[in-house]
Amino acid sequence: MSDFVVALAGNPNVGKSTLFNALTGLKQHTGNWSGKTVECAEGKFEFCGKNFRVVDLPGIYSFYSDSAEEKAAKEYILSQRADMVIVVADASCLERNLNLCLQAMDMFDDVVLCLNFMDEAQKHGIGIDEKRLSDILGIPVICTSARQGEGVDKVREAAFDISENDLSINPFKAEIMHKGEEERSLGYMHLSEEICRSVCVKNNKGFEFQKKIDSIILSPKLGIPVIILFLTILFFITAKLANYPSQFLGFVFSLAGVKLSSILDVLKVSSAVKSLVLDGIYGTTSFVVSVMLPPMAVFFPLFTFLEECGFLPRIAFSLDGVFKKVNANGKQAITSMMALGCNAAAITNCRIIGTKRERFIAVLTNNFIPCNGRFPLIIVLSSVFIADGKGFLTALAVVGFLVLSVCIMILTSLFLSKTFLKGEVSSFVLELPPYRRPQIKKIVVRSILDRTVFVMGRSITAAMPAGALIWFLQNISADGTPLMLHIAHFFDAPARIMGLDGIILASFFIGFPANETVLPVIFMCMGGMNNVGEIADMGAFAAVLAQNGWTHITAVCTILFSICHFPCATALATIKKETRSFIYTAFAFFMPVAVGFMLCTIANFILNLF
Amino acid sequence: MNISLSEAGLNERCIIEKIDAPIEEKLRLYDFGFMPERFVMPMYASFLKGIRAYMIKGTLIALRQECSDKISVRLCDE
Repeated sequence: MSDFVVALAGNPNVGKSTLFNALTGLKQHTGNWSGKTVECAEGKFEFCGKNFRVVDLPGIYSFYSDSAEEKAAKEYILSQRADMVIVVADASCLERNLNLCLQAMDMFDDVVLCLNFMDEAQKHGIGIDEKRLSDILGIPVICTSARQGEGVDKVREAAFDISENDLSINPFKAEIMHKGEEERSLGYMHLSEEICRSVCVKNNKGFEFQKKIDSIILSPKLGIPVIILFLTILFFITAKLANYPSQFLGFVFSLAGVKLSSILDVLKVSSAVKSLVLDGIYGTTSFVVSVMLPPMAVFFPLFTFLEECGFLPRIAFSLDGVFKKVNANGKQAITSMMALGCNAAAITNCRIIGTKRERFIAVLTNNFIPCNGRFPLIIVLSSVFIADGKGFLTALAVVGFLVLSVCIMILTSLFLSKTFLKGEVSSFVLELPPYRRPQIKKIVVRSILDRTVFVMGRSITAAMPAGALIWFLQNISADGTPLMLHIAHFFDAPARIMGLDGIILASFFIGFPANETVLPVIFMCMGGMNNVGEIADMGAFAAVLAQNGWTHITAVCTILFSICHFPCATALATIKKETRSFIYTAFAFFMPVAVGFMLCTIANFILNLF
Repeated sequence: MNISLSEAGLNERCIIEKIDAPIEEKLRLYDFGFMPERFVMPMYASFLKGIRAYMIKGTLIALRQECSDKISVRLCDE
């Protein structure tokens, strides 16, 4: 028997994905801003022996909208592939959300209204008579607080009852779907208002605190400094806290390396194989895990905390003026912030930008914002060469590089909007969601178990073959010279102009599958893997780099090229998927390299003057 | 006297009179609650002046000036 299909529809940011996760046990991305879900996601659950397939649709304001970002949800609903539709509404602003429910009821018979965020509504003094609402609409109305898991079982029960035809549904039909566009739209809104007047009680409590915070964060004078302050604190905590697990992991890997060496001796493997395993594969992998992973593990929960609070759309609001000046869409600020987590995910999320021209600008320039795979390199090199190990100075240096990366992204957006992607700026409407108290435990567990472990798995998968490759390149010779030196020599001339050397530049290319492998590859090429335990010791780390001719200029130029170089393999594949164009994908590869070359050359020239 | 929403001062309560925008944009504004005879209040302005956040139906919605120029309002105190 085929599964009973349940579609979750609703306005953006009403908790559809949270309800989806609660129903199915899956881990769709959630956060407090509109437009997180850009693709239909599917999951399953079983209830009373019956199988249900749940489809989480991207947020939609109206089934009659022609906007590109709502297309996927609209097409799915209109295709009638769902057996029932659950319209998820934010109980704290029901009037606006009910509009979509009325539209759904005109198209479908099996509709259920789920009033989510009931806890929040009650906190704000909003009371809803759900029984009366259910009587008026003629459909089941279920109250939930999906974040706390409250009411989720009632949703399952309703789905089951409808699938068994045990529930009497007689939806109220507004029957205005065939009227003119404007009349229809106003008609649904008026009806929503009328219904809400008869079922809602509002005391407007609890908004004063939000107003106080917004008067600072959205202030024209304080908005940008507050954003910079938050980011500085975020990177300060990351730089400070990452040291301890890093040193611990370095110690553990050092001990494990000795054990592994003994095991290889017992197995009587040849010295070449032992060196390949220990110096190549194990050395690179342990570097990735002990040095690159801890900053990510600290950064992810902190970033998710800001995301859950509702901070991201406020950043978009404060930065919109800049994006407007370069003829780009304000939502680009949101996708840029998302890039701090992962460029590939952020590029997919560029679908929240309605017009193709503005979306392509956002896609092609997204890579200038460093992702979590690049931040450890920036933090480590800033700490060692710029801040002399001081946490606060490291944080300031990292934020400085981040501000620079935003400036580069804005300038390249301007360049694109004046050349290849000319056009009018589209209208821009942005919902600023209420602040929500993040669920700390959930954030920590989700960030570490889901995101960090996922990234670590990907990093290790890329680091092991990269380590083996480097070992072979160092140990196989042509004309009496190791292949690695031939490659380094090939890259050396342009690299010297950029303040780098052939090994550093070659390492960026070898690190193409995953950005987090670049620094380990550089380090390994320099022969710095002799004692894995010393990896996490910043002094020893600096000493190895200094022995290989690294100066402050080398570090700054390496950071700059890390910000401005080609996207990693995953991000590039996503760009191809989103643009459906080889030309734009090639452009996305070469443009940052050209910008990086120019920037590093200028920085090298200027820094050498002092 | 009617003014455009972008001209209304911060924290000045206004009533929407009409929206002069292309139909697609107008429908989108209706979805957010910007409809004739509804209250709206400008709450916050960004540092480069182009965008402002408006309180409408209990929600903060940010509109660029090009968009709020198309919404005619009258001040509530008049």
